Amino acid sequence: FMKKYLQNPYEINLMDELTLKGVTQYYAFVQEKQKVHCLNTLFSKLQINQSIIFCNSTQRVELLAKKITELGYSCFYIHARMNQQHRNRVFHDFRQGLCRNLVCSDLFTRGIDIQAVNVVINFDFPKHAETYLHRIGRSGRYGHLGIAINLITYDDRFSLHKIESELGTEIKPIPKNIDKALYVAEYHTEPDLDDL
Amino acid sequence: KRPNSRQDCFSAPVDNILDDFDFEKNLKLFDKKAVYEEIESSNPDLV
Repeated sequence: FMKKYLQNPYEINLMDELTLKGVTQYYAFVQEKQKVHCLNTLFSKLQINQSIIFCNSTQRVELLAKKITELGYSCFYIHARMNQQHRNRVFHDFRQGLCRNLVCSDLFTRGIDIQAVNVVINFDFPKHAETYLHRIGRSGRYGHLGIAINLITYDDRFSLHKIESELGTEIKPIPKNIDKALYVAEYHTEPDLDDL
Repeated sequence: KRPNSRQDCFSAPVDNILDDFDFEKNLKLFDKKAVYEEIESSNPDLV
């Protein structure tokens, strides 16, 4: 097509690379049965502007959304078994800021491009590096600050190792206190030029 | 493994979650470096 119809075309690649730049990645070691307790504590400790919480199945998305509501937090949820129209509406409302938390399965093939999301939680750790990157990564345009917290069980150890080495990244143990400058916009200050 | 063991975390009632989850205590149960060394020594072609 191009050769036939275009004369001296300029080629521009508009596909944004997904990047982990600007995202600080932590893991918490948990047993499966501790996950909800752990998540509840994260909700109470972190300064969440908006969060996205990922599960590995549509059934677990629904169960977790229900649980989060029981805990007294509001959330929306979307997963692959919903019709596209409903999904779009929920996602649109979330983007508008109508709700603070969104629980979902893997629907994003281009990373999350919502500026207001400063915390991403992998309630279930993914099995593949590509999935991890789609969940945590930001498209280049938005490479901005945030934290990703992975709930890791002993069964996830192989996936953790594989994903770290394939992406050439390090997922660190969650510290006692997370520096707000890493994910809360108001606390984020550009390094002083005098310090460089 | 029980087929529904993955559901464990959803079955517990939520009203008993009063104290904070102890991140430090749990992190001590997982020696990442040792686990990685074990994985790498059993699959030398991984690295």
